Amino acid sequence: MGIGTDMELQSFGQAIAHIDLGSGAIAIRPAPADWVKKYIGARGLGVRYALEAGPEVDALAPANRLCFLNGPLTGSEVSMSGRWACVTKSPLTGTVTDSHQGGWTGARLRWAGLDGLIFEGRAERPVYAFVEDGQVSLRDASEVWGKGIHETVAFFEQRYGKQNLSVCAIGQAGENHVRFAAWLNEDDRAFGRGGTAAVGGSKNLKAIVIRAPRRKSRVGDPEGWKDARRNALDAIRDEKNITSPRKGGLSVYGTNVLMNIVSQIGALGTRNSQLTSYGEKAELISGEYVQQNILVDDPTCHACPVACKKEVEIKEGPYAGLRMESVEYEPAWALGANCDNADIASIAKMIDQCNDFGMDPIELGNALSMYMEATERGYAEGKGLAWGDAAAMVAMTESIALRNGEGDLLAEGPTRAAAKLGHEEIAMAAKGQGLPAYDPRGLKGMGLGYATSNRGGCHLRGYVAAAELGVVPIEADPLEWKGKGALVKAFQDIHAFSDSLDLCKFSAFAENIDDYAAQYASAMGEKFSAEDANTAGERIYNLERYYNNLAGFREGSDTLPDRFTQEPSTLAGSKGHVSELAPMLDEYYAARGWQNGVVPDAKLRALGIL
Amino acid sequence: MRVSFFAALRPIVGGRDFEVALPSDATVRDLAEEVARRWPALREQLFTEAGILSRRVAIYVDGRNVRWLPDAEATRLADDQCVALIPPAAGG
Repeated sequence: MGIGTDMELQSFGQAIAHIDLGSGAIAIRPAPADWVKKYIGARGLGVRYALEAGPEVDALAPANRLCFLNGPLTGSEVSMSGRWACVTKSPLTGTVTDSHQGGWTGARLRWAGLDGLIFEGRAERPVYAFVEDGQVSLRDASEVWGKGIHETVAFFEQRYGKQNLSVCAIGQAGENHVRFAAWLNEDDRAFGRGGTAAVGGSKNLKAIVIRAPRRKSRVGDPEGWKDARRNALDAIRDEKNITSPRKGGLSVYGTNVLMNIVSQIGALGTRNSQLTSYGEKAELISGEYVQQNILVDDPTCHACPVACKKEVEIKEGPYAGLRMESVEYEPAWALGANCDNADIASIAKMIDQCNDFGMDPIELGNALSMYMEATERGYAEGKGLAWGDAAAMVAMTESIALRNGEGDLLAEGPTRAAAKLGHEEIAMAAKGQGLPAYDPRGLKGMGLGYATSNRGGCHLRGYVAAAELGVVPIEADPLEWKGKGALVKAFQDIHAFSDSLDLCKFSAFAENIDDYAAQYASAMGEKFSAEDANTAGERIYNLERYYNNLAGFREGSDTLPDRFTQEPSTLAGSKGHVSELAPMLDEYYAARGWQNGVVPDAKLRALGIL
Repeated sequence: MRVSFFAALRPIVGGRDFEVALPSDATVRDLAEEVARRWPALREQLFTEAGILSRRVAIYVDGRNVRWLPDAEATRLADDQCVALIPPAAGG
């Protein structure tokens, strides 16, 4: 039955498509009501679905589940609600992983009358899923197999027309099972982390193509909905907040507003984190530099007034003519300071390569910087790679995506590649996932967050940098380790809830847990307090940890590379500091009620997981 | 003393780095007053209505936010130190 263009959507969770790629069978049914109640949607609900495949499953085996899920606010009129989640077992880390995209694809799935797509099995030949009017069909993708994402998007836009169409696809990296391959939608918004596109490639699933016009949300409490949305939008627009459109730092300079600042405080990993600041060269890859020299547009996502995306055009040099989005802080750091590369044009080029081949630029930067240090120390195989050799980095990026030569080694990710070279100590990773752009010696809460992240090294599980950099009311000294255990837990739980709604993480720079709870309560027409939101976030975080414990991540799995705990910073801001990980973990486990990283059964029962 | 400005402060002061002349025993508070005198548009970002240093601009001395230093805004400055004025910033 079609859903019609003028009808309101049904309430969240009523239509999840289960797609068996092996048999071609497709069934659409509601999510179990108690799962929606406990795990909310998107990230939380996705982990619950992924758990059904068994945590011991091989990530690239047909039995692994690849779950694309909206949250109850995705595609609604709520500000910053253009997010959806991809959840699966990661081929990079072996943990459960979730990654989130902006753009319009999640919203369009909602408007098409579905809240989730759960893939199992492996198609005999390459296929794509076409979604329209509440239905899913599998269609032949042989014409685009082997193509990059830009060409794949253009192909489907030619076939179906651009209007009301979203395409989420894998590139050659996913097809080649690069362990950090990423799904991209609309050319440049990524499910970046954890290698979810390698899972797509292993299933012969090339793309998800959705056609749907905008539709209005059905909500349980229309009056409450109006108030809750207005309050949240007022906070986002407040000129005191960094989200303020056209005025706040995030809106004007994008995420890369951080480059100079984090370098100033001695928390910008440089040369594979051998140093903690990029000195004067940070300016050349900073948000300020981009805004002054190459910025051409500020694109946005569904229902977002912030417009943090930064589209650039390169006007001279070997990459002249390149127009791409988005030069973000994380990739600019990973492919810049981290590799001692101060050439912003080459950084834009490599980000665009990642957008086209479908790869995570954070992981790419970590693989490259690890190999540069290996080359410096005489560990590399073949020619190796020199610090800051931009042309060689661009060439290596292609080799990795296509698994050619030395690229085949680095396609395994920094941890596996370093281990193959016999020097795992030079991989800057936690649970096998490369660390992002905040050095744990200069921002101590972030280091604890990396070590305890359920998807491997990640800044977004608990973005405690917001407190350590002083942009939220709770402030914390970045160089003080005491008190970080409870603080990191609190951030992780709030983000687990907002990732399950699924709202953009940056909403947390303006909104608080009361805003989140009010928007969710009015959407669902249920009583739901801030305390309920914190409990749901804690439940989701514990569910992920339970999955990982069952997958083999037991006592002692929450670690950082020795570089951060044993080699003091030598530069201003953090000079003399290391990460005091051990006492921070003691605090953290006490706050969580865990035993050295393992969730006791009593805790699982108390949260309603068992 | 060299003072560096970042992000949205740059269009206000018209550049990145400036020499700011201060007496030898100057404090962070004195520096903020001198900056506000030289660039009056910054005063309301540097100070609250009560005249207290505002959170809207953080002052870093050699990479440390002065609010975490023992003497906070009373911290004495030396000529060879690097001072940075930074508005709130965060991102992904």
